[in-house]
Amino acid sequence: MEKQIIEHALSINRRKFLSRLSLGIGSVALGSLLIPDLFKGGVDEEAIMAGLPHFAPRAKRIIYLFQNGAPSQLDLFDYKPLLQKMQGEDLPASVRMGQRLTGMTADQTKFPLAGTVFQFNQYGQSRAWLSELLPHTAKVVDDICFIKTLYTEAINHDPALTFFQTGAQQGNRPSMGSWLSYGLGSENKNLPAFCVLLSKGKGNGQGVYSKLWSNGFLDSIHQGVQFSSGENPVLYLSDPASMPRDDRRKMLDKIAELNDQSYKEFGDPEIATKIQQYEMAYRMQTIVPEITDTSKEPEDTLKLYGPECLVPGTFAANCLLARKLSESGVRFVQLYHQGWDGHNNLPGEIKGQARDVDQASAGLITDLKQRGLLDETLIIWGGEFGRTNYCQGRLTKDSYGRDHHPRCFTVWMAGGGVRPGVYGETDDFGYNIAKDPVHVHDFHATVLYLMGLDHEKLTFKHQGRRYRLTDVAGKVVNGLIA
Amino acid sequence: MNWKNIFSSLTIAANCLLVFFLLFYDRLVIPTLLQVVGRAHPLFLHFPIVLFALFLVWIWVIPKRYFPDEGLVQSISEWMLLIVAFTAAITALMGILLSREAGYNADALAWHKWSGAILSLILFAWFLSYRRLTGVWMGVASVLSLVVLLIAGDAGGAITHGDDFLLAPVYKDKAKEKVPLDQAVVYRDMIQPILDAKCMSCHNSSKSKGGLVMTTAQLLLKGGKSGPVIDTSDANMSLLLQRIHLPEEDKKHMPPLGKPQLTDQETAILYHWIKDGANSTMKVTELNPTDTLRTMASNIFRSSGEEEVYDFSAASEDKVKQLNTVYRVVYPLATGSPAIAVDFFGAAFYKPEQLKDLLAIKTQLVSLNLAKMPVTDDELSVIGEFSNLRQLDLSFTKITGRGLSSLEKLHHLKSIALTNTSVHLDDVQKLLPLKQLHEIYVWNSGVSYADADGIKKKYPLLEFHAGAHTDTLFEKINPPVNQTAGQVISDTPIALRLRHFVPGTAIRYTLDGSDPDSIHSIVYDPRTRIDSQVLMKARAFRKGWRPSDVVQYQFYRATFQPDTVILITPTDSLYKGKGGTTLKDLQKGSQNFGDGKWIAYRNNKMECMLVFPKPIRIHNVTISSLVNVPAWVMRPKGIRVMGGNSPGDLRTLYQFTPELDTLLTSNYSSPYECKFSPTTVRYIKVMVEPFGRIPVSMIPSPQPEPTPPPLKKGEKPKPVKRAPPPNYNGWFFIDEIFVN
Amino acid sequence: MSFRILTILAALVISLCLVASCFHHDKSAPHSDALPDVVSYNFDIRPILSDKCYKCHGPDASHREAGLRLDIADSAYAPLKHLKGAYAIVPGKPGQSELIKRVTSTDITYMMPPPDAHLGMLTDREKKLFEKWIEQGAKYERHWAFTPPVATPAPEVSDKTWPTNEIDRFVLHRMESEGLTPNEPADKERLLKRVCLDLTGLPPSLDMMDRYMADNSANAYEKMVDSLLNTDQYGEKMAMHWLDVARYADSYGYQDDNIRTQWPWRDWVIHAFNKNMPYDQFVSWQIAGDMLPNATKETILATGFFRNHKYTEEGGVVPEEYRVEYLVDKTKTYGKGMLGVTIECAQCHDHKYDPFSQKDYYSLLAFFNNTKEVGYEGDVSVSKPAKMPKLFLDSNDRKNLLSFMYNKDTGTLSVSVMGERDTVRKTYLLKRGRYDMPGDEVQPNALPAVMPFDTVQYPRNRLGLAKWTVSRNNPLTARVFVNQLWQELFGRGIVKTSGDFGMQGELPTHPQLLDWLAVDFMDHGWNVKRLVKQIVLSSTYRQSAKATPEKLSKDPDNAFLSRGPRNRLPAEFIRDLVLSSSGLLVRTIGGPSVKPYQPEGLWEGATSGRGVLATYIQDHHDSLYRRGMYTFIKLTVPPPSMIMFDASNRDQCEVKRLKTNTPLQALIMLNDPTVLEAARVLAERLSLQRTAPNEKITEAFRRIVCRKPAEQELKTLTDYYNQQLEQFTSGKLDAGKTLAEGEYPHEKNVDVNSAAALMKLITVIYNLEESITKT
Repeated sequence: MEKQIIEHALSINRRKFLSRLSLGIGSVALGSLLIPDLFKGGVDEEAIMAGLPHFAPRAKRIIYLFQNGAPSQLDLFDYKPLLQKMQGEDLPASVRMGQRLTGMTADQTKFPLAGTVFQFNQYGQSRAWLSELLPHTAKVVDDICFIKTLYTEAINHDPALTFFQTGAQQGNRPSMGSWLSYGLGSENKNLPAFCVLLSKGKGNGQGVYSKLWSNGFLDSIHQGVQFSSGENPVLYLSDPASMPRDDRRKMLDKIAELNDQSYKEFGDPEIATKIQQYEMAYRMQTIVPEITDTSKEPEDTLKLYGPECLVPGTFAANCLLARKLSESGVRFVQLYHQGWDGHNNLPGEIKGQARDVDQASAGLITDLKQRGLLDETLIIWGGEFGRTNYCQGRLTKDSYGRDHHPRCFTVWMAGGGVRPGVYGETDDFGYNIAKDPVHVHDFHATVLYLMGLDHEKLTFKHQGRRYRLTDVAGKVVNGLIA
Repeated sequence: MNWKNIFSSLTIAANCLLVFFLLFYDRLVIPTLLQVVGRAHPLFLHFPIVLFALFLVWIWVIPKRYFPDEGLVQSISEWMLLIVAFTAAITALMGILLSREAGYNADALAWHKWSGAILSLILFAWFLSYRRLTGVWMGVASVLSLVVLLIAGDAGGAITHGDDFLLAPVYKDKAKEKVPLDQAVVYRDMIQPILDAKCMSCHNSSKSKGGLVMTTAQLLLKGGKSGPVIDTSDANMSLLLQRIHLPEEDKKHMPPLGKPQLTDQETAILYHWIKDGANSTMKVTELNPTDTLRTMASNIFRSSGEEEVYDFSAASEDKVKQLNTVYRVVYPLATGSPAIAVDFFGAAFYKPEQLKDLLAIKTQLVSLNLAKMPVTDDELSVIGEFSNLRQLDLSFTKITGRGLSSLEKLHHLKSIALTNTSVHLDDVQKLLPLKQLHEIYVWNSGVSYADADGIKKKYPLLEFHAGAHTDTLFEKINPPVNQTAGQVISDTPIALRLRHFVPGTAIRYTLDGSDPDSIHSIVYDPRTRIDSQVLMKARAFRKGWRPSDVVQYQFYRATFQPDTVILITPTDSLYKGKGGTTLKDLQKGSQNFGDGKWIAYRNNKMECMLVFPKPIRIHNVTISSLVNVPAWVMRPKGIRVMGGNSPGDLRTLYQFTPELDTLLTSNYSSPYECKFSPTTVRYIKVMVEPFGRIPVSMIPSPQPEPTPPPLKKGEKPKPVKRAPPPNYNGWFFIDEIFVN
Repeated sequence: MSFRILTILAALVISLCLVASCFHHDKSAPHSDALPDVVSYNFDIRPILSDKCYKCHGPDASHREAGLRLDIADSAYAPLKHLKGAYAIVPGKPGQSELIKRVTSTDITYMMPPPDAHLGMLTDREKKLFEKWIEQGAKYERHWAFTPPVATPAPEVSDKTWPTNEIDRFVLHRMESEGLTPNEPADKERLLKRVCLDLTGLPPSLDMMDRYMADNSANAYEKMVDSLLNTDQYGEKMAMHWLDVARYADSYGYQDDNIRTQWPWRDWVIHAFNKNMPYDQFVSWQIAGDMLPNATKETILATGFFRNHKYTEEGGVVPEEYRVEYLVDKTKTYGKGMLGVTIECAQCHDHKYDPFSQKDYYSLLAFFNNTKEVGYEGDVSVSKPAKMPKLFLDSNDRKNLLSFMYNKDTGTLSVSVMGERDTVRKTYLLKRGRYDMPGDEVQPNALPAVMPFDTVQYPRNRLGLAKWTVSRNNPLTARVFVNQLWQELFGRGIVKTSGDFGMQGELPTHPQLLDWLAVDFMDHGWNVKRLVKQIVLSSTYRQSAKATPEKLSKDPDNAFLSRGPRNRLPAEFIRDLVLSSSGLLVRTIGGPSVKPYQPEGLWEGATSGRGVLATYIQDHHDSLYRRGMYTFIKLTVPPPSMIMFDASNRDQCEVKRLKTNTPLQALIMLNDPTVLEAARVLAERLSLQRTAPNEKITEAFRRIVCRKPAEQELKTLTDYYNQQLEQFTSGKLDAGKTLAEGEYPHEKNVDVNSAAALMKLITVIYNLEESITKT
């Protein structure tokens, strides 16, 4: 009797139990919610960072005013009265410390110090020293961060320039702009993310090379696209004079129609892409001229950048164009201004060079500021290395030459989250760094940081190695950041 | 409704879940809310323990014979067991959740985890089979579970934690709130937090293990029983660091095994702080910018300018994706940030609807850029909806300002750009009450400099940009650009092409070598043609500007062209050009003397013979040459032009010595005009004597053989010389000879 | 008994959730299919190790963490230095292997790879693989590419009918194992275009098409292949790839970037391919042609291969710095181009992934260190067309022994070639790769990890290196070349990373096929033409290129070859297609490079203003219509239209070009004067024919797309033509202006309107994706 009761009870239990199994499974299903990667494999870093900053960026865009040929920091920024006192005396070996020399001065046995012939004054809150050659820059000192203590490794133009632009002295590495394009993508989908503008001064020229804006091993989408002020801003952009826009449109429609037919036949995604690329080409044809057109610029642009800004191919014109591209969402606008290589007759040449760039550079800062764009645009101004404090060639009262000097030189930055002021010090000879050195790799790391990128995370795997702009070195220089 | 069933089913569920978790333990990821549940584990675990104790007492100790109804006894014990099993399962689950949080040593956990889980399963099994177990089995079950319980309890005891732990996750965001870099104090904001998190539970005023209390800097520096823990004189020896760096298994290692350990960064921070002198008041900003601690600090604190932590949640990815078009870019500010920025591009393709679409993300939208888009006042009402907007750019849009009032709702607005729009002061003033707003850009708008100054006085903290006063002092206009094609006039005259890119600028020029002025000199006319050998000088004039510098251009006339030019003396091997023809091909060389249009002489005289088809009457021979002192291309020492009707008898027509130019800066092309009374000739011989030896005075400081830095092994680099050796002759370059 | 039921049920539940979760797992990650029964070190484990571990636990001693290296068994099995009683790998016991513990851990301080290495975590499959591999005894194997290839007989396949030759059986076997089936054969027209482009770089001419379509004999295709292999254009086509490998260019590079004369070498390469020089000879001549016992001017010319890199003419460089730089380039080019290894990674430190020490690197470099070359011969002002050591070729040489060479203008040419010093120059290991930091002396020696350099057999000089390279036992040379060739034909090598056969390179998709081809290639005297023929005759190659959505999802980049190759033409061949289809192409072989149309100011804007190439002086007449491979390459400003279509910038050795699809390419096809001129000329010629418009359209289409247009296509095109014609006749568009493109003389008495309309139509055809695509 009792046994039956128990049996009965159990039988009930059994049925109940069966019904409750569902509950058990349900609970498991619930549990599986807590296992996100239950349904996928592991995580790959490169997959995660898809065209987004790693952290909140200070700057959205960069305009890099590269002064190709290496301007003399000693005649523009780094004021060294001692050199004037010791004019003509030999550079103490204790200071030189076996710095390697270029072949041009390697056979010079004496290194007569050459003080600058130009007047220096202090400006702004930072009381930064500037030479009389840069009257306009002097007006915007309070927006500028002067880095007095950049140093590099190469002593010749090509390797040094390549190093500054690609983080390596030789070879096919992606340029800074390409890295940014790869890391952040293009802001304006109708323009390349990385544009290049060239100009020339009258000074001793040093060429530029397309490898400086090469995409290296990155997809050639990230290659720098050369723009020029004037009628033909982009290669092959403008249609034949005989072809009106609507006619081009008609042609493109036909092409699309036919391409679409072969897409239906082959199903090759490349065809679909091709169709889109033709559309983007058409959009570029519409939008680029809109951007490069200077005719609608307000009158005072002339006074900001100087009247030369309307003469195609000048540095001023390129600065103006740079602003227009940048405000239209181009990530990285790279300017090169040639002619700073003052091996002899430096005072004569540098006057012209400074006149070419001073007003436009300052104008660019002011212009971006009044448009409320300076905070999100980072402006960089500087060359591939500095120049020696001693004379190369003949030293006279009013003329001298300066050789290449990698140990310390000045670069300035403005806007985009940099802290205005003067960073770092060189010794009284302006030959070695006294305080706070900034290596090119550090400089790159800092620039990437300002753009919201971690220079160690921004990598690309190529031939089995993960490459970085900063190679295997570089650290962010916080002193430069606001 | 049978409670027992409910409980038993829940227990089944719980145990299944438990098993499941154990199976996929490594891949569990616990959301915040469940973390709280997990953290309740240390509380909750007391239920099963106590209940189990009671249960044991009940079944073994309490004599049952006084109880009338055996069924009742049965069900009571069953009930108790069920509850125990249930609570045990729940506790185990919580434990699992908790154990997935960082800072737990996997090995130390294992025992607790498994014993706990097993206990739960045993109890569950026991309950299921309760009625079928005989007394003996009961005993076994009791002992077994008791043992397991003890193991679990002991293992767990090793992992107990400090106070206000339970609700910590709820305050998480608050805790995250970062100190601005410039206010951060090294000790207060970098060191103390570490101590609080990892040491305070044992080294606080109430429970000061080893007599060490870390609540304040002073006490910390005072040290504990075994003396000062911090010895700045020698960082590595500081007791504190020593203990931290001991291997984890070591008894003396701090924090003790099983406690949340210091991360590498935390260790590093402590190390550097002590190394830098364990200063308890120093501010982060006082540190040397390149100091390691400073670097680490920058990663911890928000430096000014970085935006705050947002309190709204992110929009769905697809939503962002589908809002993205080629003319409207929608993107999060950074990876993982809920805040969204939107930029519009391509005015030609703008439509107001594109703005309305954004209402889908109106909470997340913090930055909106409509610059240059034909936005009208109507759309402003839409923008008013974006309640979290921080940044708004309306420059170069069609807004008149009337609509601005609809932006008054945007309480988070920090910066607004209205440059180049027709907004006026009173429009803008509507926005001034907005508390967050501290940047307004109104350059080139209806707001005058005067208005701006007024506002700046009223709101000193507000950055009110009315644009740069482009100064009124007269600047120099840039010179005209010379686009003339060709320089040598042979038969057809050359069109003079001058251009100025600044609209409304006048170009004036002269042909007599004088500098153009704004009154007398000729006004440029595109139809101008030049037909003679002249020097053109041009200049630009513009109202409100000073006249430009002078541009000049040398035209050459070549009336007669020789059949051949015979080079009697050979050119220098480096610059052969096209031999004699170089001098009659009417192609001027450029400043770049390597361009193949020049020929050069250095060590020997130049002698060449121009042969004409028939006798010609000439009065002018121009030798077009180059000076580039830096490259040692100099003016010649002497020039002599002879002419006659047969190579045999030639007489000197002209002879002269150009004055010396040794200026190290000189670099220009210089024509030497040899004018003489008209003569009829068929042969012209031109003789030029190059500069000769470069005077030592010009050559950079004396230079005996260098003594290059010794290279141990490998080749010794032999440096090349740029400056010429003492016995070096100057160059003479020539590209054309013009005969008139 | 009910108790039992309960327990069973409980068990059921548990197993259920197990199954459930596993099931999800599979579905989600298609690539991570079930684990292999036997986990292979080479194919499953090493890739993971090399990718995620070698950075710190690899061959490079200087960056080795915790003294642990995982690339060799002994040290991986050895007890860990820093963790008492622990072992990285305990064969057979995953549980006890520290490696497993760490890769599975989630404790940031303990897990591997550490987060700060930015290498990402291991996928679950990878973790499982490790466990299984260790279970199975953690056996290490030699790297597949460093073991000599062995020809395994072609596998049996179920579909006996499809395969034409062995290649197909290997390929089909793989396909079947992937559950794929081959495509139907490509239609005759498309196949003809494909094979013509692949063997000559040019589209088939109209009558070739007609002849081939008419020929229905069984071996029609084979006959066509043979005839193509015997054209001179075959050599040009094959040379193109080799010029990338050899980074051939017409200027010195670096800042002043003056002109140089290396084109005689380029012409030799074309010649070598045309007369089907065996690959081993081809290679040994280029490595050591100057040192052969019976060296001739031709064999010496071949060594120009190693003189194609950049030379500085920048005043004031430190010569030794650059002399070393040149050696580095030579070594890299040799390693990447001929051996398919990234030896250059060992320049500053031991190779991080491959078993090449820094010493190995400089021992290899030592072979090249003995040339007469100097680092600097003076600046641009004293620049010469060639640099020491030089080979002089007067017109007699070119008439007689180098008869293949272009010999229009007389005069003596000089070419940079290799030449040994009489006294051996010592070579030192350079610390951190710095020219001025010499370390220990090293002797010339080829990579021991690849194949020991038997000094009895081979002299310690370039000649020895050449012999070593083409030795029957060298595991790489044949494989690498076969793979490059395969890549050029299929757009993707059997080893995808054709420049890296090392640990970090991708694994071959068809290992047996690769080995079979390599062995077969060597067995038949390194006969290149034979190899090419073998491949293009295969059914694999002849498949249609159609891609069904199913195949696309299964095998997006056609690794398993279940469809024919479909690739955009290389930059140079796009130009060739445009010129030849319009009848403009000038088929002269070789000679100095030419300067066709190029946007203004490119050279001028970038030059230092010094040297002959400061300004771009465009050529005229015939020089405007030469093949793309003869376009002048100025290193600092390479021809833009080429670069935009992914041509190599020739800055360094390149074995595989990128393949991109950008709007700038669209702009070129739409506005490049070359294209417009071609369209114009073809239009004018067609408009002179007395044929109906749609016949003209058809012909244009056939000349360019190489097939008859489909009805629909013809209709679309005809519509467009009529629209345009209407526009022109009605004067809405200006026919005269439209036709004013290019320097090529206009045809007399053409009806401008119809010609202009036709020109626009042809431009449309040129802009079709299929036109510039190998389909």
